[in-house]
Amino acid sequence: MQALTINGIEQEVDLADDTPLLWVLRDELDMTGTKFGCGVGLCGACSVHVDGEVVRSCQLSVGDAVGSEITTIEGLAGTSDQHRLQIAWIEKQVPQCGYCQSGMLMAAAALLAEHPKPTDEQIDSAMTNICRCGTYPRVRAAIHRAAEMG
Amino acid sequence: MTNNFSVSRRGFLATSAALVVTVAAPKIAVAQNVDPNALGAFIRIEPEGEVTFVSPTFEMGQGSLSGLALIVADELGADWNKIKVVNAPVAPAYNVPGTPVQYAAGSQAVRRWHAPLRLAAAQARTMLTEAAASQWDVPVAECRTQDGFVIHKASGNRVPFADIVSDAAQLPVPEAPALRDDNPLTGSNVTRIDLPSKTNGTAIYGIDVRVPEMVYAAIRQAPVFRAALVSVDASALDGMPGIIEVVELEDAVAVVADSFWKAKQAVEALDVEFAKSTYDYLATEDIAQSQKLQLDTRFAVASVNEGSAFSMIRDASNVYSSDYDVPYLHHMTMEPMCCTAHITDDTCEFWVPTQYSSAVRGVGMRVSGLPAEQVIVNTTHMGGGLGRKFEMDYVDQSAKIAKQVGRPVQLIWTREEDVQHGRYRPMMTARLTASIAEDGTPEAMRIRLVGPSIPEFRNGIPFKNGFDFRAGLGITTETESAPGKLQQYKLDNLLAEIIYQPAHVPVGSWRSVGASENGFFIESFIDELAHEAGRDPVEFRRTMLRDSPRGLAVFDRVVEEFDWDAELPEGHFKGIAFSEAVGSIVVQAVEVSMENDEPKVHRVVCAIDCGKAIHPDSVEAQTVGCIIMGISSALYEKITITDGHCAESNFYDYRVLTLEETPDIQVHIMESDYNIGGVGEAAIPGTAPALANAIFAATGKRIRSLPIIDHI
Repeated sequence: MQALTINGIEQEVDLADDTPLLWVLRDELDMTGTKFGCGVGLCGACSVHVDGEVVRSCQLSVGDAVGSEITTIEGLAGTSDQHRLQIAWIEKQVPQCGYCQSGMLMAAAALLAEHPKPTDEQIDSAMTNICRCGTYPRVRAAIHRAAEMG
Repeated sequence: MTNNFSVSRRGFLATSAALVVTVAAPKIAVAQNVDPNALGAFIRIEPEGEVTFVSPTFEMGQGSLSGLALIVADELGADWNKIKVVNAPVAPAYNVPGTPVQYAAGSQAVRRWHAPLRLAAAQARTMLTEAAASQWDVPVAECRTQDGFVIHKASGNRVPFADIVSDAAQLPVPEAPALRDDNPLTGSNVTRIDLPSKTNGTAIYGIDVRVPEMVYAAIRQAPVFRAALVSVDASALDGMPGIIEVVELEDAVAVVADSFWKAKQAVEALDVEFAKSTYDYLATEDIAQSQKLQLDTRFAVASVNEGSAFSMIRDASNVYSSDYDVPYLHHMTMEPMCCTAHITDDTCEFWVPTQYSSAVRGVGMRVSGLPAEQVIVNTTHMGGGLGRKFEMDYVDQSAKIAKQVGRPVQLIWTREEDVQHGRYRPMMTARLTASIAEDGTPEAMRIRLVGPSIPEFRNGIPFKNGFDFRAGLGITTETESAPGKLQQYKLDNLLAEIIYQPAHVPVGSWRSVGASENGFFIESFIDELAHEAGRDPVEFRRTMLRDSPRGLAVFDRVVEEFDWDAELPEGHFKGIAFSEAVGSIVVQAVEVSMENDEPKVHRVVCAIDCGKAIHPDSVEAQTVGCIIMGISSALYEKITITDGHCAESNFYDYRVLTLEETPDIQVHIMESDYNIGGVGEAAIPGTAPALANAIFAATGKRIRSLPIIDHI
């Protein structure tokens, strides 16, 4: 039995300790906003926050997630309607297919928490998520826009 | 365990084809009297005034869902912020106009649907205004619609659609209503409909479907394509929790479990034997070698034969020729292949991210044995399509697994299965030959292509009416502005031939299909001809474009915006390419430098003429997306066959472009009065040759084989 705190809510699951957090979210808790893209920690589609740090949830076992504060895309806005990144994302019309965007947003939120006004170089090094549609230039623009709003 | 379950299910039903079975009949199904199978299917105005657009196309990121909704909302005068869009079920009404099937491919949605959807909306608008005019006793010509209201300016009357819809529904449907001339939404950048759900995790993709009693399947397919499954030893699964069933397929084995993670672990633990295959020792080099040899064969099928190219080249004194090749490419959609299926005695239901819903229904009929009416296809958002989700392999597997298990099953491919069992962009080999006029431009051109046939892989027939038209895409023209036979170039003598090379490697449509490689061949070759003639590649192309004012305008715009004659920073070089695909004209110029023997792309300046830009922001987004995928594939991407199977398996060995590597990209949209062109694939073909031409300028080395990093 594992007790998890996800988006401020405590949830219990009963799984093998080495089950990746990604599949706990998706299959056990039906929180499907966090996406499966590669399973090896490369593409970033499964990014979530663990104690404020961006983590690829396909590489974190549920056993290791116990006792941490986990935030997923469903909880990104917190108590408000929308996180400023989500507002900026819509304003700049960033998503195309949209599949990678949950992970992009989680990575961007962690970046803004560390660098409220990130430079292009900081965006380049933080945003290692892969997008096959090619939304990268708009991701950059929307991060700058959200930074202005902050 | 399923705390979000009911929410997901409701959300899904509301946005899926379930409306045909669960939603009460609307008060007004516009224009249904004209042809119930053709028009009434698209616009529904509920008694409360809510406008629903039933979209015949599917969303994979190309923006068509919003593009078509915009066309309807604009002509109808509906409130953009309130219009609802649902995906259509499989029905004849939703077949792509001019075809017997329902699909999203070929950058066709806006091109093919623009006129019929505008007409349907005009019919609905006319009925609404007539009903209001008669109520107010004013001339109907003085009434207009706007933001969900009918308005009569002179009297100050306005009525919401909700209050007039019942009266309107009683009126006859006008056959040929006038189209409105004020279309405020068309050409504006209103927010795409799917964006909010794609920023908060609520958009439902194929992998997110949740239905009652659903279980998960993971699959292991024969590494050597289509090798038969011989035996499965499942003893390793003893004691594993959550395992439901092991399903043997012809060339694969699947494990069904109560979670995907458990299914995946189990399928990997199986001891599986696949049959020996005649292809067990085949490698890319063997296929490439065979294709090269075929360039010299006397037997070829002509897909284009205009003028007298063959004899002119045979008899010419000045002939130039070059050979090129491109590798197999993977689509690498971010959402791997997945499909949910449920087969009972009397229904076969799918929840599927697909570009081709008619074919899904066909798979359902074949696997379940049920008639068409009992096969239900619910389409979801696609986490990328790029041509890959036009294919039926994953749909077929999910149906067969579901049939055996007897409950809803969601099949998900791991990334490794996805990469190793792609429907790759064909590896193609080409020889381009031209007879040269005195000024160095080609008088006649012969393009020989050698490679596999996508129709053959899909349907077992390599040619239709004598040729494989897909392999010829991007050579000729789909526009009315072409002065000759080669895109927008003035060239009257063109022979394009295809030599079919059978191979066991699965192939399919990869964003822009044949144009993706033909653009590289043609624009590299024209660059070679320019250098051979000692002429500037810009001025040379301008000569060849002289009889297409449209092509020339797009070309000149890029030359100007790029500032082609300006000096570049030390160590920076430039290349340019013209291309025409899916009915649109695209020109791109790139600036590159060489850093540690790898090309670095600094800047891309692009112009596109797609006729009318319905939603310019989407045109920009698609063009940038194509350029990024074009850079990625030209620089890095290739699928290698080793011992009969795909050697690559994930992002670590199938390199794609990252944000950090993405250059500054400028897109200039040039509207014209020509027919609307496609956008989703238009800018793919020109990127690779523009880069290769820039690398020639930088290094003096002509890149005739992709990917570029393998050949510097």
